[in-house]
Amino acid sequence: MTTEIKADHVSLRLGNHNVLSDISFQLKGDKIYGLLGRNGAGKTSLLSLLASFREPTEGTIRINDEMPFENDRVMNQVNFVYAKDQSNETETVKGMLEFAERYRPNWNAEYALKLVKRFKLPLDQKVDALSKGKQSALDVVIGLASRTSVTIFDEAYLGMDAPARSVFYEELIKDYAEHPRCMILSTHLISEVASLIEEVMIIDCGKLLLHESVDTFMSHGLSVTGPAEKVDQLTSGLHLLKQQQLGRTKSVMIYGQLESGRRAEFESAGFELGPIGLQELFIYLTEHEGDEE
Amino acid sequence: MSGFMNHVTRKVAVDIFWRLSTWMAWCLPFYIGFFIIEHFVPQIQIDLNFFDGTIQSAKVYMLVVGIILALSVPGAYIRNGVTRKNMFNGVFIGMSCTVGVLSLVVQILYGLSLWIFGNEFGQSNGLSQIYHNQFLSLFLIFFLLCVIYFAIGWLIGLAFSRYGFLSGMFSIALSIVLVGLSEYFWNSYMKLPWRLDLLMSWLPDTQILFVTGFVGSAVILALLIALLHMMIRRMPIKP
Repeated sequence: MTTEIKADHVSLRLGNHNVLSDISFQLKGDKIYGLLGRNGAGKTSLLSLLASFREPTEGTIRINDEMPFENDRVMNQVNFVYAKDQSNETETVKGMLEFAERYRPNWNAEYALKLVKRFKLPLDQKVDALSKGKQSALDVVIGLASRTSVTIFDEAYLGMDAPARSVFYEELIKDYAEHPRCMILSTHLISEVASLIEEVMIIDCGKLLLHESVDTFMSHGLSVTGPAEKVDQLTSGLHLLKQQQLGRTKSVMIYGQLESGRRAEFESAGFELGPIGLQELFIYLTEHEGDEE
Repeated sequence: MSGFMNHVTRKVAVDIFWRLSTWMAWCLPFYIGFFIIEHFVPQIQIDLNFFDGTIQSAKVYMLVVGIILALSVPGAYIRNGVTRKNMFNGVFIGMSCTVGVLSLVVQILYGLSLWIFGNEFGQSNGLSQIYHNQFLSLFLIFFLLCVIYFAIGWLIGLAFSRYGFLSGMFSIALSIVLVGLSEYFWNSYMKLPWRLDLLMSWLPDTQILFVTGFVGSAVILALLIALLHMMIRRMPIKP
């Protein structure tokens, strides 16, 4: 059975602060989803609702048509891996794996040990004695080897060096291909995961800005470069994310569905057209007034 | 998978039982060693026999263990997909089993100490004097008081971690009252700096029947469990 997550008008209020406001979405099918948002946008709060760490103030979340909060059928199938303070964790790496194995019904011990070797984790070492990168690697091992229907990685790579992150992405995509499940990646290293994710959700200031397939999202972005006057003339009325001018040459980034024939018009005008990267699109869409100050 | 004792609850209970038993197994030899040394070194003047000394230490130990576990256990289990209800039931079943075993071990050791060192009563109002040779009564009192102290530890730990400093302080005030009442039911005052015997001096100084003490302790424990259940059933975990 493929996984389905449905959030219906979800809001979360912590004290006097509206962390999430009226968020609705549906994640249908076993895919790798990317959850993007700036610091404090509400990503971790949203993910903590999916993992039953807390309940929404308003609205409902359903996973495979069941409410997840205090539902053991759902909770043991959701694994929320995030960067946490483990400076007081005196359990050994082996102990942590054994603990996860006891409570995760789909745990694969053989795969866990394979990952332990790949990340060069010392089984008998206490977690608090590991470096931050190794602690994150251990969390990743537990997240992947749990093989839960919903696996969430929220900045799980913190402290991991580039080779370790590369192993993480490699194992993630390989394991996903062999055991498809709903994986949600929340990250600031967008360019590193851009090729992995199939659907993207962007939240900004606690609100869902967009939720689309990566291909559709990317097709909405277009970089146009040409003579300044002509570029101004042909792009007027379009949603411009960014403009840069060097001498008489102007480059603009356009966001939105272009009317039919518009692209051909650009090409016939001799403009240089190009795609906009996921990271650039994200940056410009979540840019607020005063950010440059 | 629902119900009071499903397989997840059992797993949590086994985890907690082994963890607490391991800690106990470390602590108990030190206490026994201290008791033996105390017996042979006349300069050490502690007027408690083995049972009365152990129960005082065990209560403080369970209080501290309760606080420590309340701060770490909920997050560890909920992060691994265990519901709050299963975690809570498992912790209390596991802890009760550990305390049951400890209480039994203490009775056996107390019996041995009487056989080896003779019938030494220390403290005039010690439980072992009040319930002399009533091992089942002493077993139950030891069990109930330790479980109550553990629950009080959880109350303090949860109040601080979930509701913050002021609620935590309030939970300490409430705990002092509950500790005082529990001790009063068994005429066994804690020898702690705040001197609960003075604090509870407004209560009539009468010998309380075992049944009354048992029912009173059970009511306090039921109240504590109900309060803890309310605190934990919708408890948020901070990522």
